[in-house]
Amino acid sequence: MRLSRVHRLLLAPALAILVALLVAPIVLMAVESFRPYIPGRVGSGAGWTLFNYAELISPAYAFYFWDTFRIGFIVSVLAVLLGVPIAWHAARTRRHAVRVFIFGLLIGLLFLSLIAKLYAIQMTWGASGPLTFFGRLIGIPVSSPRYAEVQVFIGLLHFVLPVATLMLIGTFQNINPQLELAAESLGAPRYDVASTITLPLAMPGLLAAFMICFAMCISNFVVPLILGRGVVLFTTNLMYTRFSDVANYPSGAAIGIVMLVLALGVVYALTVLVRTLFAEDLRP
Amino acid sequence: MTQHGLELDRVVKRFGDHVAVDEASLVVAGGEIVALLGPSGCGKTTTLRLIAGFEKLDGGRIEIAGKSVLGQPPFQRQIGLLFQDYALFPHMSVAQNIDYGMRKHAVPAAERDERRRTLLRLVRLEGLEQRRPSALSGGQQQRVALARALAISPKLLLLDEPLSNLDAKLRETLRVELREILRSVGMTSLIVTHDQLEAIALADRIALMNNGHIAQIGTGREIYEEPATRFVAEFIGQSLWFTGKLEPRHEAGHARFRCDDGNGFVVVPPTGDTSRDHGLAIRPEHVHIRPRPGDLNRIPVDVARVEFYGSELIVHCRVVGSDRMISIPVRSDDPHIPEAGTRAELGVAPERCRVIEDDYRRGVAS
Amino acid sequence: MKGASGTRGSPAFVATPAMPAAANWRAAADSLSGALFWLIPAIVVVFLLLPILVAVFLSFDDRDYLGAFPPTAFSLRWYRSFFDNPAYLQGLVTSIELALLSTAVSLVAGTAAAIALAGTRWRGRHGLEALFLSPRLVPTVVIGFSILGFASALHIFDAFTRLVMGHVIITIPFTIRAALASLVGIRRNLVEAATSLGASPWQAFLDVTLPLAKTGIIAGGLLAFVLSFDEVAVSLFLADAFNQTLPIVLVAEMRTNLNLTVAAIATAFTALTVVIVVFLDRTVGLDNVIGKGLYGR
Repeated sequence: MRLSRVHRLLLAPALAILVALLVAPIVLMAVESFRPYIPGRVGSGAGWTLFNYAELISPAYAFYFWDTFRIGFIVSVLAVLLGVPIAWHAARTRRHAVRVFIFGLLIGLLFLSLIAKLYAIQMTWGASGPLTFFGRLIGIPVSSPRYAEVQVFIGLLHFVLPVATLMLIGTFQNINPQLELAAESLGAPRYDVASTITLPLAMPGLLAAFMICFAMCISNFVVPLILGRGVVLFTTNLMYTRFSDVANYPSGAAIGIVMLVLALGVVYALTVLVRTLFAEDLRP
Repeated sequence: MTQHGLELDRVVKRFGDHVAVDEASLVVAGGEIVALLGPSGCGKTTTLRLIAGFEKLDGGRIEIAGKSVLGQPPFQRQIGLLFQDYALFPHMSVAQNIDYGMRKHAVPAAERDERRRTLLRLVRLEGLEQRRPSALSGGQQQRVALARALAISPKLLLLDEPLSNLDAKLRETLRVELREILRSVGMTSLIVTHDQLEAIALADRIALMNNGHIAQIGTGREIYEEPATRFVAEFIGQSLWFTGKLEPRHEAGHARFRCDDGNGFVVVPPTGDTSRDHGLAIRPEHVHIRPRPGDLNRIPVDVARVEFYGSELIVHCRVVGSDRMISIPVRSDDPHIPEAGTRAELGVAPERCRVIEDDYRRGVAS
Repeated sequence: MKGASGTRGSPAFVATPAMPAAANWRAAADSLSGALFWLIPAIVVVFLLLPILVAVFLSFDDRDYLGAFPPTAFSLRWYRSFFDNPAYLQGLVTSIELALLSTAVSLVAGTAAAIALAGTRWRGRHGLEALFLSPRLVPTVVIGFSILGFASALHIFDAFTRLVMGHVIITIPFTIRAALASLVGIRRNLVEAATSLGASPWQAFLDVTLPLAKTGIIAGGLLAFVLSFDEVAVSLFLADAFNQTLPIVLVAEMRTNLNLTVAAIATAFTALTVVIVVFLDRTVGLDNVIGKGLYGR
């Protein structure tokens, strides 16, 4: 069945935008990443090189990738774990007020400016905020540079937790609530119902939420920028400094391509994982 | 039986301002099958959830096999639950589903296997142990659900609309099978349903529920022939209803009922309480197109329409001097079928005129 | 039919299993785990709301330095300081203009694409849909960086144009997805009913499809606007000294002198968000924004 003329006309603008503003620029960037960098000169040199990529394997840069992935991984696991109870209650409660409250809260947090949240976090957990005792609690003094990582954790959590929770609400809504009741009637206390029935059935959704959170975390720029205090830098920030401080366009391009491949790779890998592990269980 | 299988004593459950269960009382003998029948919204599902422990009691008492369930969480009540959509665990095989309850009750592996085999034989599903629920038909899923519930040797079986998810043909076959299985296992059972046929076919006794209150309990026959309230009379079978007042005089074993539109009926004196709102209920099939001996009540009518339905006809009549329509069934081979437009005289015996409580104005009528 | 071998009236198997001896601790664990499952969400909600509440509080702080919490004297000085700062005001204007223009382009192109995707049975439509949603998977720094290079190659040196390019591409997946979700939910036979009553396809679209899809379109537009307004990475790459969005100005100012103006800005954003959420609930209903799933009542 072919695409009608009307439909082709309707699709044209969006398609043009996509090609012109996404595909072409990225292709250009890919090309640039193979060009050599000439310090002091605007624009890249002629010829092809793999140097920009080889550079990234060295320990100095690997460190950035490791930091980004490590922090992203921990935050994503936490976001999914902490989102489960909220999402389950939102999906199961029969009280309209509770459901609307949770929905409103999550949607509000999605709409609320991330920058506003980040500065609010800085004011709250920072040196003069009301939660400075938290630093003492975990043994990292608020003034030490290591505390910046704590704040980055908190900032990223604020960023991805609402998204994870919203996805998980959908997951729990699509699990038959009577399965949990059946398990209880058969003699399982609620913690047992959770581990033998609810969580196994929710696993594809949990993995999907984790994957989205992880992709969001490793691609994030603002949180390390504002809360990282120069101590915590993600590959995104590295890309920016490569370009803004040193005008090393090819190197920035190489980092960009690597980040793109990684972000897409994460999504692809987890999609395949979910599909192979859970194909049989996904039918209701 | 010394203890009752299940006893509900003035059970109350409120959701905010709405009283879902309003002093419902019911006794089910050990081994008996009772149906809790009523229209949607009458509180029967809430009652089931209260018994299972998924809702907290606001008042009254529930006892299973003589022991109160107060304070017991659902997982300790040992009740077998059959859900309307079976609720089989999709990530487990049939065998694993049936084993689940036994595992939670720490039944040793050898005994588990033995019981599982016995149960699968009982529900006629041997050989399907390794299948997943999604690979089973509706009828098969229901039987697995039954086996799973029976596996924990429950003290009580609760069935929530067990046949409503099946198509009509399957429903008929499974109705018979289900009753056979329940009887052979001898389990105290409470079936919650809105389907009269299901209730009559499966249960020993029926409890009719309306607006959170149990209107009447009895066998299918008792409820049909001697409905206690208007709701019962109109929910089971059909009923003609006349508003009015019972006159205080009684003569020769009969009483009189004066309708609001002026007509009077000779009726049997009611046995129930008539201090509340009451009225007169007559089943259309007890009204005769031509008065027979014993039909002390005569109603002059104009025949408006006669409809043909195969083995029977429905004759629609208008009561002379009023707007009231009465429609009665008549056998097609009855020799006295009137013509439309003629005048006729309907007859009905006092024994078929029951003065009963009008519970329509109690709460919201359904 | 043949039933089990048990005698009539007694169960087919004899022994009733006793609950494991540790029944009491299981009941206690059941209650405890139930309580925890309520406590954790409560703590998380507090965790998420606390910084916002602190910021709102601090925005009214009368002190002119970042002092210890809680403030003792209150005033509107920080709100005034925002309006007294020409850089902020210019940033605000730029951000609003940029967001409005980007959202408009994104909405028009995106809704048109969504209409085509929803209305066709073409085999390739799923692939096309994935393609349209793909910008979401691309890190925003990559988008900013790549468009900068691309714009230079095309000799587009106007910063505002570049900014619009960047903001359109990051918002279009959201407008498409929101419009698509709404359009897919419209039953085909409604349009057929309209055409059978004499409406031309165009009229049927205007009279039936568009009004029913408007909730999705509005939600998509709102999301696009907020997204554009809040965007930092793309803007940092594509802006110049004369076209700075509010987030860029904010980050720069807070670098040099961190003060409570940002608290006032945060409070203003929070108030705006509350308005948006209430608006969404009144028009669409939050229940419908999230959906009810397979088993919703």
